[in-house]
Amino acid sequence: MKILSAFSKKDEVLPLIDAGADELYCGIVPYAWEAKYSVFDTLNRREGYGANFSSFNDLSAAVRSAHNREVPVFITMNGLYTPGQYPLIRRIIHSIELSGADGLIIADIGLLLSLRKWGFRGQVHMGTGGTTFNSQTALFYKQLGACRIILDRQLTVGEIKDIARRSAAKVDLEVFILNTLCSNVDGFCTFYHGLPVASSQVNALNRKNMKVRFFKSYDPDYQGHGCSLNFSKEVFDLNGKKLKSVALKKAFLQGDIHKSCGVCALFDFNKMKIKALKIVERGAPLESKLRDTRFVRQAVDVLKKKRSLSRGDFISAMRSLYCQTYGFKACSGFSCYYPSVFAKEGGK
Amino acid sequence: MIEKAIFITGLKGLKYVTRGFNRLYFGNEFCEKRIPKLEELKKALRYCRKHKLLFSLVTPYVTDKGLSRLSKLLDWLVNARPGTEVIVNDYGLLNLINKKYILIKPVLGRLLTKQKRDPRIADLINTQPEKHTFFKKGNEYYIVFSKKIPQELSGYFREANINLPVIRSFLKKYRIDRAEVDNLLQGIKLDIPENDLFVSLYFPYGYITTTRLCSANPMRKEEKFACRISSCERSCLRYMEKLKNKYMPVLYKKGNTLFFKNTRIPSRKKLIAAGINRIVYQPKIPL
Repeated sequence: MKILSAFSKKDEVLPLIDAGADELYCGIVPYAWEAKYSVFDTLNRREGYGANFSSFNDLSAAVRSAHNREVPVFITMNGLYTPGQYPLIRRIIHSIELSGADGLIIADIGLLLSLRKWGFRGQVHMGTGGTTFNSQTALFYKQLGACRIILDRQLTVGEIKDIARRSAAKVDLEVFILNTLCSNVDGFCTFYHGLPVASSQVNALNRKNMKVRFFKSYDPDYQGHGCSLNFSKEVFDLNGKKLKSVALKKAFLQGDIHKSCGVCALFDFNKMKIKALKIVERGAPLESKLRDTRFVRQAVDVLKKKRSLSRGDFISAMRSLYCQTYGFKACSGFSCYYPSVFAKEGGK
Repeated sequence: MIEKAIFITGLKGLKYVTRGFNRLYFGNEFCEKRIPKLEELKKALRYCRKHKLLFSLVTPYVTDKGLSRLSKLLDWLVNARPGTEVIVNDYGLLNLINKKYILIKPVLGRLLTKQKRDPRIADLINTQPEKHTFFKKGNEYYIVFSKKIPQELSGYFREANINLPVIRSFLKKYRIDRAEVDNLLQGIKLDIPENDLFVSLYFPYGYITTTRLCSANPMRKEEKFACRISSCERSCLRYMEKLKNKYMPVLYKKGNTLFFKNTRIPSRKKLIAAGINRIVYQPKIPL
């Protein structure tokens, strides 16, 4: 199983490889896109320059640096695009090809079909935005040109096993292993991501050590991603009778998404021939990316080196490693990617 | 002519079917645990035969288990009612239909037409904010200047992926000549050549987002691990919620899905210009 780590600056490449990354991915928001769309909607589902490259020269340098260590680099182009954006998207992808990057991570079926038409030669990975919940979907995207399928975050280990059994021999499968367990199905969520007020972006637009930060937005009232907003709720029965009121809750249950983790499932994933493990958080600081990569590397190494460990012992070792790495007293399970590892799966 | 369909998720919904509808949508788009049983499907079809209604089976996104449950319905449907429409919200199901159920007629469901549905968008693009905002976060002060949305982008948030010719060609290869869209609060903009693809418009509920981490019982305190591994209590059959936030219109949550409501329907002229020749009326939140 390959560890796929995120980066957003060329200086991050070598430290991440040293920390244990087998593959790398990043995004780029060229000025041509920014000039037209600002962060009105996203090119690759991560806003601003804190999480993205802006220059193709820097991207090329990063790719060269990774290739010197024989590590492939994949570029996120996982937005959902409208027809008017396609000429610019095509130009951006041409520049990505020239950068030497090994492939694209996409979400839009229109782009998948277009890449084939344009004669794109790199690898195409269908991202979680492709909503792959079953083996037929994995095979469908393979027929259309994808060589790797990134499975939806909300699948259980048992459901992933079903997909792997029927498709892993024909197409590479990738699963999420760390960070950002969205409360909604990524590819079906249509909440506007727009412009969050994140310090990394603001810092990118302003000089250091300034107490006042300025920036421009199409949406100065922006309050955050829809999934992270609090709502007052009223609960009704289906005859319209009001049963209760709840003040300020998120629409759906959400744990600490930035610490969400799935390493306990590695024991099972290894048997399923899962090809790659994704660590999310392109916009995180380097120290956080390094810690995450080292953590997953240690987890995979435990699996490789201690082959005699039982599944139960492996899971215990992973829970200890998680607490040790992130300074928790206990693994709460609240932000667990694959809780079915611990409990019997149910549902009528 | 604009066809009028009514969308119900279970047999209890048949009480909403009145004169004036010529098609019944039956099933659900958001949860494989709510796929109708074969007996329910047969009853719905018997009702349609008796009342001279056309029929469309609505299907959700599915795991392999869900796919196997749908296969049982399709095995029966393909023999009993060849040519029946199936609204598809999962490319795996589309793949299967194309390989195994060639006499079933797939329709591209609204989960796959990729509209931009956040209810805040309508205000954002219609009111063109002029103000600047100022706030403090930690020790820093933030000043945000509004930036006008360029005229050329005004249609951007109203589109659907079916505007793209390469997608329409792909749909033809998969025998799809109809796609489903929501009646967005900000309006819709479809650029489809005449007779290239037929479009259905859902009214009045549009979906915003859906989850499989379903904290489905709103009467209980939320629990760790949520519904993914605990037994589903089918609370979506008992409760619905209204959600309020000052930056959005009222939202409606039922089970694992969040909806907006838009009671304004475009004029007949606009519908026809957009290639819309079917209205899908949802008497209740479709879950």
